[in-house]
Amino acid sequence: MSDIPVDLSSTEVKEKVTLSPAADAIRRLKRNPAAVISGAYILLLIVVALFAPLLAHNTGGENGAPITRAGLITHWNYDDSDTHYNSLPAPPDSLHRLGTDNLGQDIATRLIYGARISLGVTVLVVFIEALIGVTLGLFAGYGSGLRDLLLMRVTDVMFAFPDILLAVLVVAVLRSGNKALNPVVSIGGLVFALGIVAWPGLSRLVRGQALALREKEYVEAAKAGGVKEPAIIWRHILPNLLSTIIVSVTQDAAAVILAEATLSFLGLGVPPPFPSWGRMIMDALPYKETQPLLLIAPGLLLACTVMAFNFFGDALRDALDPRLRQ
Amino acid sequence: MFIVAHLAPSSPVDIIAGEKATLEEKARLAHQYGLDRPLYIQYGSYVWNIVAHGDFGRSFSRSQQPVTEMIRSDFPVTAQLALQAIIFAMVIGLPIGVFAALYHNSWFDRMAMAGVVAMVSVPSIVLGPLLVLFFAVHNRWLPVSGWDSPKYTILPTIALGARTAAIMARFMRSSLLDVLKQDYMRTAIAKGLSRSRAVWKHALKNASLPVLTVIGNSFGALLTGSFVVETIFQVPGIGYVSIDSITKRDYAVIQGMALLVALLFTLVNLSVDILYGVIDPRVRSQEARA
Repeated sequence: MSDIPVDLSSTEVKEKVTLSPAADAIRRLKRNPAAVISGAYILLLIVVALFAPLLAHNTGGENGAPITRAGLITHWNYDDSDTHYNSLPAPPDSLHRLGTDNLGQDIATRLIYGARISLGVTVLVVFIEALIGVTLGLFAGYGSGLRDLLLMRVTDVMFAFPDILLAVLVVAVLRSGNKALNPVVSIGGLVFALGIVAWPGLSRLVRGQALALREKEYVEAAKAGGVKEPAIIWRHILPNLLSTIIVSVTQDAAAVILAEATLSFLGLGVPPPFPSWGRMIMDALPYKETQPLLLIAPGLLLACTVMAFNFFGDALRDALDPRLRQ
Repeated sequence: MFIVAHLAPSSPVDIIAGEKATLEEKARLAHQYGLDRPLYIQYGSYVWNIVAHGDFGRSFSRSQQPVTEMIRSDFPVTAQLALQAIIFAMVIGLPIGVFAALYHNSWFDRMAMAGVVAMVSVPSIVLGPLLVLFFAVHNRWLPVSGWDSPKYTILPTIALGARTAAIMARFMRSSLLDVLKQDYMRTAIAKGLSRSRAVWKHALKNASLPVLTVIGNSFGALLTGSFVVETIFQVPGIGYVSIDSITKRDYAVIQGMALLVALLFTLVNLSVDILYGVIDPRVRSQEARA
């Protein structure tokens, strides 16, 4: 009777208040079911892309080894005698769970390797975007005047043209006619084209925030203390921009995946031997009446991936954006 | 744009002449098309022909057809498709946005917003083929591809407009939600106006302003989308022709189409800005002060 239960929950609440911003954001993400599901999906996709050779059933082995180029693979059938050039797509069987396409290539394998291409291209493009966008945005936002004016006019010009069309033009130029395509040039060109059109949005965002941060007291204090401009940008401005950059880049990733698929669909993206979801959709069009699965499988995967990045980007924004904290 | 197109590693002569052509044959062809002249002279004459004669040059790949003629025959198709898509997006998207805002947090609102995220994520390269699969292959209600009667335009219009409809619904909803919170809405209802009358007379007009910019912005997406949708449904518009010309390295056509698209894009954005000023007096007074 004399035992008075100690309420432990109240002390727990007090501890939570002292969480670091990153831990706080993760806690918020975990509470959002959309974020958990989309995050798990993205993670799964990354794992699939990384371990593609282990997951695709017909890899390795001395006999019937897949044709590899530059570390990436085009998958022909396990058994060479089973390979039909320019034959009709085949329905699913026990070996080919999703069937094969008109070249006898296993659809499931191509989808798995397609994830590699899709995510790989996206990571590279987003890296280029962040590099150019953040550098120029800081450059313009922190050092106003002529630098700012010049840079904002450049982004105006970039904005004056629809993104994918600009990328289409850049890719069209980099391609070498109807000759056999060098995959490094083709994919490199695709990454370059998408990266070049992606940065203006981010650079504007960074510039706006840098303009606001420049007026903060702690920047004033650092300046008064004799800290040099690059050090101020690196130590005081950039860390405060990090969450904005991460959110923006995640949301842009969805657009990049879409753009890669669209360009590949139009025959201007990843060249034929490499599996790309966009290209698989295009290749499946003639067989939509006989083998609709050929069309539906990559389409569904593409839509789910874009949706996952959209959801996750939004959730990340809600978790990180200080203005929405209340 | 001109220089960019000419920087390409292979020349159109290779494509016209074919792989077996001799060097003399290639030189003759290059001379015929003026491709052997210095680049700046080619550019000068190109610009002069556009400015002075409205002549965008001729197609290499389509038996010397003038680009101007191609634009004249193909552009109306793309314009019709884009216009139908915009109308479709407005007819579907705006009412959904309005009802989602009016019944904020209801099951309809939640369903609509989930649908919006889904729709925004389904690209036209997926939606288009799926529509064909369901309405043309599986059920044979509509034609698979082509551009003959109005019946042929239904699927391309939906494929092109669905994403814009979703974006419009989202903007209409958030914009109307903002307006509904304003003081003048409370005043209007306080002075005895019914809710529906207050919404109809006061809220919708104010809420539709931001949506107007969305229409302007979505035009770029529609142009891009028309490239894809025209390819899927084999619609003879400028998107289809442009993609075809890119694979054939048909400079004159690529340049003409790129110029046309850039011009259109700028014009639409400009007219949206002007229209914004006409509808919203606040924008005008701000500019007058500045």
